[in-house]
Amino acid sequence: MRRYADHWLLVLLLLLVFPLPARAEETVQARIDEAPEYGVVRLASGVYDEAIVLSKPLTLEGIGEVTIRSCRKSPVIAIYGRHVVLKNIRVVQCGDAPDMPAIYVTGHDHTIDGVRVLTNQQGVKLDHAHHTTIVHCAVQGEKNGNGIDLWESTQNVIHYTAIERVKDGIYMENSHNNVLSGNHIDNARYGIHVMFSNRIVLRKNISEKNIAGAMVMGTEQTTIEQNSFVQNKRNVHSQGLLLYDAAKTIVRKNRIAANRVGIYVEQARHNELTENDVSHNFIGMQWNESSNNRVSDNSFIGNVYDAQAIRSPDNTIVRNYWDAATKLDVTGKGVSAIPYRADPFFLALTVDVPEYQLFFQSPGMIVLQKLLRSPDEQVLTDDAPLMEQPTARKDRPSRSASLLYVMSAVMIAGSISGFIIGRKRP
Amino acid sequence: MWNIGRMEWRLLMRQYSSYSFVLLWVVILSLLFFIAKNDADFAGYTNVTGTIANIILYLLPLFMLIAGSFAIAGEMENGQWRLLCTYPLSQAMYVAGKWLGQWLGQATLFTFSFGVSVAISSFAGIALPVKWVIALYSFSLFLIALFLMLGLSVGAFTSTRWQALTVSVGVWFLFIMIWPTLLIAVLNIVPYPLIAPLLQAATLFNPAEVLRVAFVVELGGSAIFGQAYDHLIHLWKKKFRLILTVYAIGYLCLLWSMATWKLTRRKQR
Repeated sequence: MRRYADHWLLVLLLLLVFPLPARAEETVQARIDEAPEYGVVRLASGVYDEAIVLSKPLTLEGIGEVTIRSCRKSPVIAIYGRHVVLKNIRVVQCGDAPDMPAIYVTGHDHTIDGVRVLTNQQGVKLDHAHHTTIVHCAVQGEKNGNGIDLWESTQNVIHYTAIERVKDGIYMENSHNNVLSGNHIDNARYGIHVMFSNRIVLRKNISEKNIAGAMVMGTEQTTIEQNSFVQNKRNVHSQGLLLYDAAKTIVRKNRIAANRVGIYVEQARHNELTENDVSHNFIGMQWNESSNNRVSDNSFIGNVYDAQAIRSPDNTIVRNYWDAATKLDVTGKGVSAIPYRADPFFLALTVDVPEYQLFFQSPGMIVLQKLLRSPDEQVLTDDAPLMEQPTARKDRPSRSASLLYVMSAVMIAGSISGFIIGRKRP
Repeated sequence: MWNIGRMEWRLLMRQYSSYSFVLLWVVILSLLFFIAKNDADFAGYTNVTGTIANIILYLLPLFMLIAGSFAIAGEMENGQWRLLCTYPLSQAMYVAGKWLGQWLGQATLFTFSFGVSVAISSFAGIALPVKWVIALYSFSLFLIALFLMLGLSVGAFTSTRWQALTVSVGVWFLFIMIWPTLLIAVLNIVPYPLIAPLLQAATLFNPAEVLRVAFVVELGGSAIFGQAYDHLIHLWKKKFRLILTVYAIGYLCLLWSMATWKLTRRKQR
């Protein structure tokens, strides 16, 4: 009997020294289920191979390098209900079920902060999600699904999120009153894609090297300001900003540069395009079947072809700065008396043979262009072009002239000594 | 070669007519810099920059062609070249010396004018971006170098100054004024797939076009040439200066050997 008691003592001792590894084997899901409402579950560094469902108010936070990974036919993290906070986690979705998101969100008042998503399919899906904030996140895809996809989700905020290599960077459909700001999207199909969603705010986003910077379709009272849509020219249909069936939308202070078409507007009414900087695009601005829009105080600089309009009457196009315009101020009001006509001659020439674009602003081309002038009804006209660039940066660094003085002094001194040596009698 | 070069340079420096060039460049360049004043953001490629490059493209090649062709045709006319033929001097060295002297002389005149114009515009309160000024200056020096050599070969093929002038203006008209019209007209009758390679080959043949494209690329306006040239220009950008220099030297050598060949044949006759 005594021998057995010895054994029991040993077992007890062992149990005390090496407790059963029950907690380590406990899944993240189990810990979430155990946690109280509004509790915080902190995950230690490591890779967690499982899919998680969060359906009550809770904070799930990674401490260090935390990766949650799943290749199943369900989202890696699914969020339901309200007040769920996801923080500092890396989420890897490696499954190949079509359109399967890495993070699925529905409900309201959730926060996704500092989450990096690596996905085979979709990044984050907001499905009937409201008042949700996505901030400081990153989504990297394999061009199979959208980065962040909103469906019937309203009043959400997406801030400072970097998205790359996805289908559409941020796609929203039937989702109103969302705010997208400070996001950076590149190498996607469309950077930002808005469909049938009203009162959207796009502010200070950078969308570059996509097929289209932002595609805004079927919207009212949307504000698009201070964004950068640059280098969207991979495709023959590439655009910086597309406005289709848009109304009462304000597009202001955006930088639209080096795209195939800077701004393309079709079937749009009562919109306002002001103070945009449209430069170095192949076509600065193209209009089709749009009316009653106002285009003013924009700068069109170095575009191969500034503007073109087809079947677009009754638009107000005044007081823009065209660097290609001949300007003459006779009243001293900063407005040129000579109307600016955007001649489509060069466009017509390069449509058939894009290689001819090499002749852009070639000295001989200018001669040819003056000789073969297009008829008036084919051209878009600004009756009062501005004399000076309205979008010029006010804080333009005042270049110091001292370097120039030094340069000119060196040039003059060098050449004068050349003169003297050359003229000296041998 | 050095003697020829030094003589050419001295001649250019001592001619009062050379200083009328200075006046011309100062006036033109100062006016161009004044135009640039209204263009707030012109550090990059803009329409105004394009216009300025174009005016330089109209003027510099024409004057350089005339100067270059006269340098040889003049000596043909007054018999100095025949005299030189009696010396132990190869025609290659003759052409090289001519080019070196002319280029140094013209570059000195142009540099002086450029310096004065920059100073004038700076005094007038126009803060030109330094990078832009350097790009414009090197663009001009390349133009002077290439078109002087072109002018020298024109001189080698003509026997009087009058002929040289006619041919120079012809070459200028071909390379500068009528170039796009000519190419578009000719390329319209070739099969479509041939257009791109032919156009690119033809562009290499015209130093004015190559330098203009280089100038635009250097100022970051390469996007305006469109998709068709994206990869080419991307490749070019990696070793921009090297490729441009190699092109210029190659083109110069080609013209040099052409002029030498023609002069040697004439000497034998």
